[in-house]
Amino acid sequence: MALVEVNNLVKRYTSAGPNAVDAVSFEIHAGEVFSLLGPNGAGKTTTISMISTLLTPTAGNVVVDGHDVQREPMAVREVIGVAPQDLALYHDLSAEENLRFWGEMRGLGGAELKREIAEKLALMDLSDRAKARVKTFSGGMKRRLNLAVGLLGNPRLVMLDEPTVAIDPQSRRYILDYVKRMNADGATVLYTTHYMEEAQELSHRIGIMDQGRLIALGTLEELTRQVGEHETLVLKLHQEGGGAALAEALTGCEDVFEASASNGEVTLNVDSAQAALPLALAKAGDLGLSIRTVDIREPNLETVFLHLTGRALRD
Amino acid sequence: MQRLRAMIRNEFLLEFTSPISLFFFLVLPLLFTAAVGAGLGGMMDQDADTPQEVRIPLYVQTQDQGSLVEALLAVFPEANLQPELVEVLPEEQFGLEIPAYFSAALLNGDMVTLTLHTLPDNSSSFAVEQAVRAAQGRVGGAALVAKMGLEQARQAGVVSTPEEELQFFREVLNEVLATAQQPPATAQVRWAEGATITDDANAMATSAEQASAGQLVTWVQITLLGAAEVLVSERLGGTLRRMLVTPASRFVVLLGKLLGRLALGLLQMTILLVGGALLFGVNWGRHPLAVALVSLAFAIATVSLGILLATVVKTRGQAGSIVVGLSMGMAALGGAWYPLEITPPLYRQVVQILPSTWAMRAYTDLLARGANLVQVLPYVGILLGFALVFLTVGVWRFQRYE
Ligand SMILES: Nc1ncnc2c1ncn2[C@@H]1O[C@H](COP(=O)(O)OP(=O)(O)O)[C@@H](O)[C@H]1O
Ligand SMILES: [Mg+2]
Repeated sequence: MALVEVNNLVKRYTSAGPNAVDAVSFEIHAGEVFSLLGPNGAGKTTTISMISTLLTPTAGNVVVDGHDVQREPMAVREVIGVAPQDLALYHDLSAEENLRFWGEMRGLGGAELKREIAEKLALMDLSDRAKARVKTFSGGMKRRLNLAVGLLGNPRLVMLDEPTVAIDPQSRRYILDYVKRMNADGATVLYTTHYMEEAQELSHRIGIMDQGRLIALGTLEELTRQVGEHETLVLKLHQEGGGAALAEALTGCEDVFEASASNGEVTLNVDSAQAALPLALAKAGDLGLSIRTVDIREPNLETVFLHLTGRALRD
Repeated sequence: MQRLRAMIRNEFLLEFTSPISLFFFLVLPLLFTAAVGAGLGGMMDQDADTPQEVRIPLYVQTQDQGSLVEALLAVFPEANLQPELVEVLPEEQFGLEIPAYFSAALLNGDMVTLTLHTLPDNSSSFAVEQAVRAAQGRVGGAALVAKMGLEQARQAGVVSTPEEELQFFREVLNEVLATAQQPPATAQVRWAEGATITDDANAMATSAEQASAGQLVTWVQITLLGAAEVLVSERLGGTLRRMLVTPASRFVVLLGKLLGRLALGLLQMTILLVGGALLFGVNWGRHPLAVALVSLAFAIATVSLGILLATVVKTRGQAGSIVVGLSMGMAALGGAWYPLEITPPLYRQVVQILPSTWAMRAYTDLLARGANLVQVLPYVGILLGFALVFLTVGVWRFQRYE
């Protein structure tokens, strides 16, 4: 059963401007982790904001747990918990004071609230800093608290908007593990990220967004199958700036489906890595470039994005 | 209900996270009340024990040659005024017009209109006005006493002819004026409501009253308009958006923010009222309910303006400077820093667009003019009218916020 139905959703911030979200449709099934993967500006946050009743859609509609977000926003808010992309905390208050306030705003109180606060602090490994002011926290601790607030009251649908940006690997691991655990305990999760590894690791299904549009939707296998029986060849150059020229030289060559460059790396989507490698080496030589490492990969979401857009996910 | 309580508590927590805020909330306002009260005291409260060296010339044009004019003129020097009778009042000088019916009316206990020409830019204007007011109060009071004495004398047969009566009256009048060297207390002056000054028909607050009411209005405005700063920083900090995805309606969220600030403002008002009474001897307790209603209405109007500002202002810095600037500006213009009575009539008309003006009027009426609850109700109504306008626009804009 679909816990969330998104139908032809459109958001335009200014009447003359482009569609920040452009005719997006998808469903989130109860019990799954659904990821929206896309680069910055793809429209992920805007989509989450409409699902969470914060933004009014320009067109289309969203139904959460049978309630239309525009007609019954309060019923929708009862079901959801949100950890926004930008930290939304009171930095002058302690972790505990924050949790208490947000818990009360969610309608929790008394012994239940106390239990929830203690539990969430423990889950996010913040118990020993409960009384410390948030402004003294590290970036990772703030992120964890921001997440904990979104989980208060164990909402049935949890929306996490890029919960791992700009934090240390340890906190990141902590959050990813927690999302899995929470999902195992029954929560449905809408997760957005621009890290394909996270989407790959966590999700049952993934929607890929770019420039406001949902350009692909499915399980990891379904998505990678779109690329075909291809392989990915990643060449790292000694010359940082030479990637673009090599990618250009290889574009259109036989058996090279896509070529893109970023950070001194050239990513090729090819029929056979074995066949393409000599060609790539020759072209590099023509351009006076030397190759430092060669990596052959199975198709992944990065390749899928490249395949669909002609651009790398992290430009 | 629980959410409103949570939001109010949160407002207090946030306000008092740093000791500095307590300083602004409490310490500074009381210090300013003391300092301003002392400063105004030098200017406002004429003290008979310490006559000033320089006497201010006051030109007097009278159509009445009666005995009370004489008495009035005789009282002026005590208040550092040097009266001089003239046919025509000179321009650009302090001048007083006494109508022909002055003595007769005072003796009948009727209203008399004295016209005082003051100099708007002159720092002594205020002192002159006070002095004239005090003088007419003394003479009016003395005249009433003398008149009552004359009635007694007449009944006892002590006086019979009009000449004897006049003689008797003058003696008693001089006696009373001489024994009452100190000007009677403000309340008693008003008991002898015999004469008024056209320029403004009202008594003025003492320096302590003016300072207590004025500083209350000033500092409480900073707290209440601070709703703008708080809301803007919640908007920019993302916490407002987070509130709007909890199961609380937009209305409840806005109401919670409003009530939180309002509660803070009312707490501060209470402290400043009690402080004004205990530390500076201001009689706030004459009509407690009236003071409470005026304060509440003023607080609601001001916090509503704060909410409205929040929907207009873009950045936190902007909000901060607007809050402080507007608080100070509205306080000063509205008569919180110096009495409106010394300002020109046009000015007084213009500043009626400020809630602070009406709060100051209501407070001054309560403190200095013996007004009661019913008499300040119109002010309460006007202040609530301001609140309604600010809130309507503010809520409308807030509902459209994304
Ligand atoms: N409040 C806003 N006003 C105008 N444009 C916005 C606003 N928020 C986002 N946008 C634009 O909408 C597009 C989608 O943004 P966003 O949903 O934040 O993307 P993502 O979360 O995927 O990075 C971007 O082009 C962004 O610049
Ligand atoms: Mg985003």
